[in-house]
Amino acid sequence: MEGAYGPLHLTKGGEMKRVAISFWALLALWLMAPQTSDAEIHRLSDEYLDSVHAQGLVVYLDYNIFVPNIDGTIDLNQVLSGAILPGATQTLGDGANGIQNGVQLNGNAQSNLNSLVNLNAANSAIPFGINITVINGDNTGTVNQSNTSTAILNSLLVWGGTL
Amino acid sequence: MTLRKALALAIGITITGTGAAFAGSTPLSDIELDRVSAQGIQTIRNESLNPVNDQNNNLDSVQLNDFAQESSTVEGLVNSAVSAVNASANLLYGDETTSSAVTQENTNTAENHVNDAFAVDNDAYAQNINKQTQAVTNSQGSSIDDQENNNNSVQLNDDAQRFSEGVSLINSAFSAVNFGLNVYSSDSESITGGSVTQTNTQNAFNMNNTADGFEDAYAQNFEQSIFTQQISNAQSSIVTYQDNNNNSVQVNDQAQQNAVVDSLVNTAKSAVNIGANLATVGDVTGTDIYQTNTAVAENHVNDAFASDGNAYAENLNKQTQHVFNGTSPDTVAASIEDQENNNNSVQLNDYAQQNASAVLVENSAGSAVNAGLNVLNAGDITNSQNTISQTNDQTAENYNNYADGGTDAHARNWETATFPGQFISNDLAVIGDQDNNNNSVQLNDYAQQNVTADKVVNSANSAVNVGQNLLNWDTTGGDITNSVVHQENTQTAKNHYNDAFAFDGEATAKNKFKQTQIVNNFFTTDLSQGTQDNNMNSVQLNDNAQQYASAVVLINSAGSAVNAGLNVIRVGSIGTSCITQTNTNTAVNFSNRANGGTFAYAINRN
Repeated sequence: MEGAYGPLHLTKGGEMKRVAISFWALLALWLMAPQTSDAEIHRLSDEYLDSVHAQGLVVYLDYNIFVPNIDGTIDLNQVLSGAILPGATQTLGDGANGIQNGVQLNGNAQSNLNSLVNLNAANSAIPFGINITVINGDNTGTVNQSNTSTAILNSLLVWGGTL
Repeated sequence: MTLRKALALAIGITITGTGAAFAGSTPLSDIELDRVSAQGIQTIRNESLNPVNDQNNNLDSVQLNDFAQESSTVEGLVNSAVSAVNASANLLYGDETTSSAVTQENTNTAENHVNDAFAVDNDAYAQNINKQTQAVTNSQGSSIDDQENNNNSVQLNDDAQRFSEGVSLINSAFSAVNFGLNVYSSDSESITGGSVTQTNTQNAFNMNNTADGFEDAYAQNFEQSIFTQQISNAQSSIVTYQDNNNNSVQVNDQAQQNAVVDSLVNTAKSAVNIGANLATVGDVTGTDIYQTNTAVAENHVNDAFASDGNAYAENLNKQTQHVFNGTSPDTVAASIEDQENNNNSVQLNDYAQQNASAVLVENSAGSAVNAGLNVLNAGDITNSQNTISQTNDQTAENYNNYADGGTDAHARNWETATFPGQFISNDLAVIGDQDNNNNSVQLNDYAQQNVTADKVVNSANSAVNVGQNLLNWDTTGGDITNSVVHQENTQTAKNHYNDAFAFDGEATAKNKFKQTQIVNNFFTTDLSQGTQDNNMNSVQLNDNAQQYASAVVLINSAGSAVNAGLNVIRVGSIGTSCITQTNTNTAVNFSNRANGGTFAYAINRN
């Protein structure tokens, strides 16, 4: 399924076009991002710039704004209304205590716990790898250990536009 | 009367409002019968002013009370409600062997409510509609002493399954579950030449839909009632104790306390694979050993392709719970002493699973979970030049949608209710203790205290993979000489991932109102008598939960994508050998990808 994107959306255009689009991307982000201390403009990295397409752009954000194609037809109302950082809603009445997207241990919870791997995950993406080789004697062989991890959390990738 | 005929008659009554429809002589066709759903909707109304002492309302659920299955000794014990479950094991105990080929294999596919539609020149519909809705109303003036409302849930109370012993203990509600176990032992005698191959190949698919249409394609799970569980306690009702579980696992009291089993699994609305390969041998000379777990767990995964129309891959209104306590401006308050509201959550209370001992303890709600374990205990390993190989290849997908449309494409998880997610209304009510868990793990009191296990996994609304390759875990191990040892975990966990491609129109990939909890404590409500815990996408452990627990891997996961890969080798000396340990992990949580011909929308909205 992820490979379902057809050739219509392959990268086109030269470096100048990419720079121009990136400029519009940054400008659009700056214009649309909430001007609060919590909302920072995300500088597009080389990795993201590499995936910018001629007819649109790719945006990586950790909150709920999307950027469609920059062709003058942007309609952001649908998305921006009601968007709340950091991506979840919890409304509590008076006298209630609550946690969201959090880990809370009270009392003696997990005290004297004995574990090699202990993960308490709330609204998270966690790739966790561990390799252990214990050699009690000599080693004249080869030991190769590797961990390759990818974690993607609350990420939005958007391509849009008309050719 | 056959069950099928009975179900057909029930549908006839529902549609017409009279019995006339089934009085005719025309039999229902197979196609019509295939559409029959008797387990879909449960409505309970308590309108009497007389007290209700003890009422259990279970829809597609597993509930064990009192001393049910206490002290059971079993090889495999499965309690299943609307689930597809495979449980298989290969056990071989031998002695010294030479040039033998030992092969143990479990190949299991569990599919629960899986639909596949293909239309050559028209629309294609692969749908589960109105399968999971429960509504309970306790009317004005009702008096409820103890009421337990379970919707697509597992609930164990009292001393249920306490002191149970066995290989596998599985309680499953509306899930797809595979359990595979291979055990080989040479009784510490040496093995020479030949090979040992242990394999578990598992596919668990729960409520997946695939639609391939020329015009529009619909791959959907859809509750038209906009909620899956609604509980109403009207004004002046008196409720002493009430549990409301929606797509949840709840273990109370002493249930499963002191259980000693290989795998202790409680799963609600989930896709779960459990695979284990265990081998114990003496010295190994020139023997190739392969231990492999390949598992795919998919829960609520939809795939729609429309070559010339719109594609809809959606989960709509699958995870919404409404609880109403009292209603102003009425004049007499509802009284609720103790209420636990769990939505897509795991909650363990009291002494549940205390002192349990198992290789795997797993409680999963609304999740896709793979647990793979390879253990080889051996003496000296010499001249195993091809390989000693331990591999876990795991994919867990939870609430993912893939839409590929000729015009528009919609891949989305969407709760459309005015109050989506978990909505608790305390309006003119006196509330004692109230726990509100939405997509959460909550352990209270002494739950899982002193539990001893290789893996403990509590998972709510998550995609979780756990892969372990252990060479000489229980022993110090001998030398490895002139051999190749390979350990690898390859894991992909995707939770609430949407992918939409529209060739000529709009592409929408979104999670909408999936992480919403609203607890309205109106000014007319008295909360001063007890404690209210409100958890959303959270892990909360209280009191002595998991105290003194002992585990190699312990995971409490709420609304997450988690991979845990572990490779361990213990040896004496290594001579002229190659040891390779690899973990390749991908975790994706609440992420969307949209590629549109015109507009593209990738949204997490709350």
